[in-house]
Amino acid sequence: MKEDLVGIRFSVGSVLFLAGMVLFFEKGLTTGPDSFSPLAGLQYLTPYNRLLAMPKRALQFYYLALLSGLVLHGVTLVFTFEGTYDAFVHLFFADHYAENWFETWDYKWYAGFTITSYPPLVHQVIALLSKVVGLKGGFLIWSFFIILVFIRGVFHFSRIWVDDRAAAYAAVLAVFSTSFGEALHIFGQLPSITGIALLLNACPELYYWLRYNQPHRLLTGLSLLAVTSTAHHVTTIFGMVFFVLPTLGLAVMNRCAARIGSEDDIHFKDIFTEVIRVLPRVIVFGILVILITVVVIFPYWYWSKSDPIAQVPIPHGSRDSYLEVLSSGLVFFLIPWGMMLFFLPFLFRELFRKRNIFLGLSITLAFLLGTGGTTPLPQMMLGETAFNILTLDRFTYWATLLALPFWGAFFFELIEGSYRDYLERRTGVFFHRFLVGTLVAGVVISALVVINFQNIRATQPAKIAIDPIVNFMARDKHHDWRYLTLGFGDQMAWLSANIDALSIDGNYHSVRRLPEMTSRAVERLENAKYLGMEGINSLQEFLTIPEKYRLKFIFSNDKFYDPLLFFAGWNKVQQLENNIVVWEKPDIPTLPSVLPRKNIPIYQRLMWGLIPVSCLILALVLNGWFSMRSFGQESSSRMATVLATKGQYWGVYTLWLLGLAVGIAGFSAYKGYQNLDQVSPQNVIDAYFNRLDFKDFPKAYTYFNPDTRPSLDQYLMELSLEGGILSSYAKLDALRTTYQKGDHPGELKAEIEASWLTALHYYQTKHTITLTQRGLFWYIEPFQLEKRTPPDQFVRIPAIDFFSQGKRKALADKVEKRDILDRPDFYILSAALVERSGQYAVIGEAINTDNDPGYLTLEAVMYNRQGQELARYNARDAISHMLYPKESTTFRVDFTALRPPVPVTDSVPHSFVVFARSMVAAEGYYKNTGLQQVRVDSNTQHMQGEVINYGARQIIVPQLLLSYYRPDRKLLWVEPLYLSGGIRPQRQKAFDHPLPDLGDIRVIQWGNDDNLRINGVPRQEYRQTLQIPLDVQRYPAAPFILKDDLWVNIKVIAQMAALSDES
Amino acid sequence: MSLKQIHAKRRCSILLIYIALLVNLACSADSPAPDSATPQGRILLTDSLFQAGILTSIYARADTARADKSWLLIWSDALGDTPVTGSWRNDTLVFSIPRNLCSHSGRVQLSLTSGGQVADQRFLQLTPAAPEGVVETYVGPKTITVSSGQRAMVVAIPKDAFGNPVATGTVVTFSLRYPGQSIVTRESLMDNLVSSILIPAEERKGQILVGATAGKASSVEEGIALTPAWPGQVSLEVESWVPFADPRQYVAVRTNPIVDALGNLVADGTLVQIVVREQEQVVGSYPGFTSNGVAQVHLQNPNHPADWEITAFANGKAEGPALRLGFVPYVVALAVTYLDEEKTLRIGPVKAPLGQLVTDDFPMEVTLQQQDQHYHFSVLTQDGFCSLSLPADFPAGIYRCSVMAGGQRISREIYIR
Repeated sequence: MKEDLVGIRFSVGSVLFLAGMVLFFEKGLTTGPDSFSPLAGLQYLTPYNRLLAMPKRALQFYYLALLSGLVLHGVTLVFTFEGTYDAFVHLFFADHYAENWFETWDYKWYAGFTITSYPPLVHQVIALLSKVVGLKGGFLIWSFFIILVFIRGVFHFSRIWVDDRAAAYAAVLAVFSTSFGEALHIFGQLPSITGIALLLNACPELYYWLRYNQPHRLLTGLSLLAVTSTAHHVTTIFGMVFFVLPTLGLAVMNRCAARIGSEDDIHFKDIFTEVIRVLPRVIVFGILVILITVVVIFPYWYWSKSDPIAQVPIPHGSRDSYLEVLSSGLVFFLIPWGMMLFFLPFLFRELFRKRNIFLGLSITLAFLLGTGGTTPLPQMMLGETAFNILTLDRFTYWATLLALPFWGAFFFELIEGSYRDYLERRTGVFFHRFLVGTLVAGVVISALVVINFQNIRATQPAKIAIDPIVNFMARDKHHDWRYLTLGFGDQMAWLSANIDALSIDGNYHSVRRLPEMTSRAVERLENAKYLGMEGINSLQEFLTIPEKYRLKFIFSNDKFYDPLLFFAGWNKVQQLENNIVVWEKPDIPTLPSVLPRKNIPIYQRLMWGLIPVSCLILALVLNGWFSMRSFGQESSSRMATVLATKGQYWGVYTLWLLGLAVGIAGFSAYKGYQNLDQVSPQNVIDAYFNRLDFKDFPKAYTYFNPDTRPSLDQYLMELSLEGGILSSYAKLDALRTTYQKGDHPGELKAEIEASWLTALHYYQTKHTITLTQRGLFWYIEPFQLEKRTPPDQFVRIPAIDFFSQGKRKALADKVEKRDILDRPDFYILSAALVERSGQYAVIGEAINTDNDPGYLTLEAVMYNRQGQELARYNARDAISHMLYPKESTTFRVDFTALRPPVPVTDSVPHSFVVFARSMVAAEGYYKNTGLQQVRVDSNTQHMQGEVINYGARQIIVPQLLLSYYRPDRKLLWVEPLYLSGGIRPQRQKAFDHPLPDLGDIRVIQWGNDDNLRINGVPRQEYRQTLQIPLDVQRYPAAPFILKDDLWVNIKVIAQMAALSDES
Repeated sequence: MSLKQIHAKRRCSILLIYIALLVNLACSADSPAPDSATPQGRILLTDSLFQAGILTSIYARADTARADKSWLLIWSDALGDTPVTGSWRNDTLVFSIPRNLCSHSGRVQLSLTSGGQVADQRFLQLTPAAPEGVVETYVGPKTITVSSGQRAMVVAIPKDAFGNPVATGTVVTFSLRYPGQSIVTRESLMDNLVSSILIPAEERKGQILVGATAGKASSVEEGIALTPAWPGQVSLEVESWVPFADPRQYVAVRTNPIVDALGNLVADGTLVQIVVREQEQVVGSYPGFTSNGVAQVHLQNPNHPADWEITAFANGKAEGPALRLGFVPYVVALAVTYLDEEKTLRIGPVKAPLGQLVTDDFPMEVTLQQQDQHYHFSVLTQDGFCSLSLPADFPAGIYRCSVMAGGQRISREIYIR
């Protein structure tokens, strides 16, 4: 978009300004020996005392870190931020503030939510910047600024733990930190990064306050903590434990050391005495922090108290066992720790020195919690509830940042310190240089890999141009209805930010309040397919009763959902220029002009709008002012209290380094071999099905036995003939394989049961495959695909077409009265409320008595004995929504959950009402199908038969609507059956379906003239006016007789292949 | 201060107060006293019935002592109250009525007021002018079924030049043209601002055209679709077929032009169900949809010799006369050989009635039976032959081998080692 280009150009241009701004705060940073006395500190400063002679280099390193951070992350972020998980969510929030700063309610997601549910600072800053550079530009500018603030924070935070040179190394290494890179370039968690960057800057202030009794440091520290809270309150809360307490603990230790004269002489009673001494101040500090955190984002706390999150926990990979779910281990443990894994012994040796003990406890705790469900410890420590709510990757993130000072010290020792001396003495210069080179290369490469992770493994769908969708929603008053996106990933948030229309879905699950959403562990409807059947079920519920949510349009970027949309009665309207397919549901009322909202008091709205940015300005002013006055003083006194580190186990560290490297290489090689596609029968089967799943047919072909396989062209051609839901719309979920000896030596017969997830339900398919071993590898023997030759080369089939003109005059305003068509006449032949295995449903039969084709929406409401509504649902796919004149359909409305609109006295269903609504429908509807040879196999008790497609188009997903009757023609049950394969023109497909056990069906109430209503009119009105032939012996007129007491009538509903897909 | 001086000062004060009271009284004597009396005024109207748009000014006789601007005429009609200011012409107050007020028909209350008090009240009745322009029409439902109880209503609202519905009792003439009939007219009187007629469904399908006129006003054309009633009996005829039990072939059947009980061709897209029976059992079911009253369906040939009885019907109606078709075997010659060395069954040549080899991919069903064990295989022909390779671990023994294709079945015993 134009705005983006302007924004990005402006962003890059503002980089220098930002760098200058950060350096402004370093005005007091002095160089050279003047800043402290080397002699005064010598006795305490080993092993980093060499730095004392070269403080200029520390500064050079620090400036290098700032520059390289800006260049590396700044440049790459322009290309990566749109592919991150959260960037667009934050832009959506920013857009809210840009449009209405003091508005605290947003209608765009989840039928409305309170915007005070997330700390606002970052969003508000982006909103302010967006007035000049656009939303994306604002996001980038703030990111650049925060990158610099983060590096500054790491440097100054490190300086309280290690000396300046090591701190400078830490600053450089922070640039290449994989956990920071992951948070920025993969997760896009700008508020969290802002929070941690500010917290790292706050810690040194608090340290100097307590250590050297500098009250103004308390002021600057608190101001930074206040800004941290307005950016990311969780960082403040947990940061107090993981960052601030160890910092204050260090101050106490150093006070002790200064009083006693040596670290080694410190005993517990000394620490205790010192703690008692500073306790009043620390208590006051604690109270101040709590007060500040409460006040600056008071509306947030008010919201969380008045509207607590009560929803089923959303699964998160950080709670997995990383040994069982390797991908989670990779993303939430290996990537954040990255090369730091190689220095863990050094880290823990340093941490468990007396001086660093508080930080040691902090990092150890964060390290443990960050291991998620790998061990039971985190769950035991956090408790069940907190474990299921928190995302535990943040602990690893914090642990890696806390470890950065020592990571810097490690590199300092390796490159120019005593570790270098040790290595050169024991292994020679070459090995030392090799080791340094390898580690540096590893650090740089792992950072680059993380930054480019999106190119290695796609985390989001390909970029979607949203302009066509924006235009579509803007015309013909389409924004009078809600919409839903499917397969957009996090780009749905960007779309929401750019259009005024409302979505029933959203991208911030904490604020969902619809029971349909909070009762399921489904984060978003948009990516339902990745959440298994629970996700699909949740989506199905919304698609089944869209009028409840005024949901009319669906933008689909994933054809996986096509069958569900088609069979749930959605019409494919058009394919936009960006290849997004628009689906529409007919007969949905528009949104009311006034929507419900939740108001919060005016004072809170003012607080929310004014305090966060004010805090930021105040913090900048305070820190700027004091940094000019006090830095030099602090430096000279600080160095005198750095305690000695001694007793390093360089040999052990080297062994760990080498051992870990060898271990990783060996494990990788072993897993690599294990995962070779054809190294075992199971591997080749897995590989083959995976290739089919991902439509990589040429690669799948390579798994066939080279001696017996057909040509690739022949294979591809035969494969293209196999349409259907499994080959086009399914996702392979699981394979279960059993093996038998083959006919020949070196052969195996594999019986495979494959589970496929589709948008409709799970499919189970069975395959028998012969495998042959040739040398080390296994191959699949090719199998015959469908091959039938119809007699005629050319077929003529007459067809009927309809067209509903809608507006005959091109007017932007509403439809003229003359253009409004009558609702077609329908009639409900029968209906009954039934219970089967504890589930309730309404079954029945309806007929289009009109002469126009009609679209039927069938809604059933279930009541208890007191007449209170228990549930209200529509028929989803157990119905034919499109009916031609005089065509009938059976239907089944499933009450999948009881959702009374108000509390009820009892939940036992007693009665029901059916509302049928019809509209004239003009969509073409394929009817050239037939059924034959329907019978029951006496051995298997399965119903078998053939579906014939005698027409000229390919059926991609055939659905059979099975209606079971008793011989007295009372409808017993209705169920949809989807055939797994498509049916090409002029061919047939056999089906085999186990007969359902219908003995447990209990009729609760039969339908009658009072409870069956069509277009708002009681049924008898239609009966009296229209001469509908209602001879019960004619419905059904000619069923297939399965058994003496069981008849079946079958209706074929065909989802057609797109013309471009047809072979 | 002496007593004398004190007295002199008091006197002076009393005098000053007295003078002040006098001045005050003198000043207040010029301003009018509060008027508690009802203002005197009268609206000058000789009639209370006017045609909308005609009444442009209203005269009133009023107390000239009152200021001009204190007199207001309040015009109250269905749209609300509107104050109108007047002006003096000689001794008469003249109120010019804005056009937007006097053009609305209906009852008007006039109130002559001054100082918030009503001097006089009169009621007017503004009647609509003669019909003019376009008659507003509403029709519903827009489709009715022939010869049913359904009726459509046409509502017409003729209006005058100002948009007022014309007066009650005004004659509105509706002109109707049923399909295939001459134009008929019906009159309806305006009542409650509308006139309407009910249009019953007649027997012939098509479009009922409706127009309405009242005076110089006319409506635009409206239409009501008369749609056919339920389809009547459906009979079938064969369009093309091959009388062999070759399941690759299709029988093309079509219905007669389907009409309703009144002879109207049914609507396009009307469903017709076609059912195939064999020995009185339903073996096939095909939906057909009419185009110009005719539905066409392709039925797949059976894979065995059979006598078919094909019927068609519309939902809810009885089946029409049956169409009977007989299918003879497609395969007339079939040979089966067992190749012991290769453990393979070779079937062929498979020949059709004209002596030709059956076409490629013709389905063959092979059954191997040994006591209670049944093994079933499906194979396809290629150039009139097909092969079935048995698995290496296929149990040895003597089997009854049956091959069935195109209505032909042969059996023989084979020994499998």
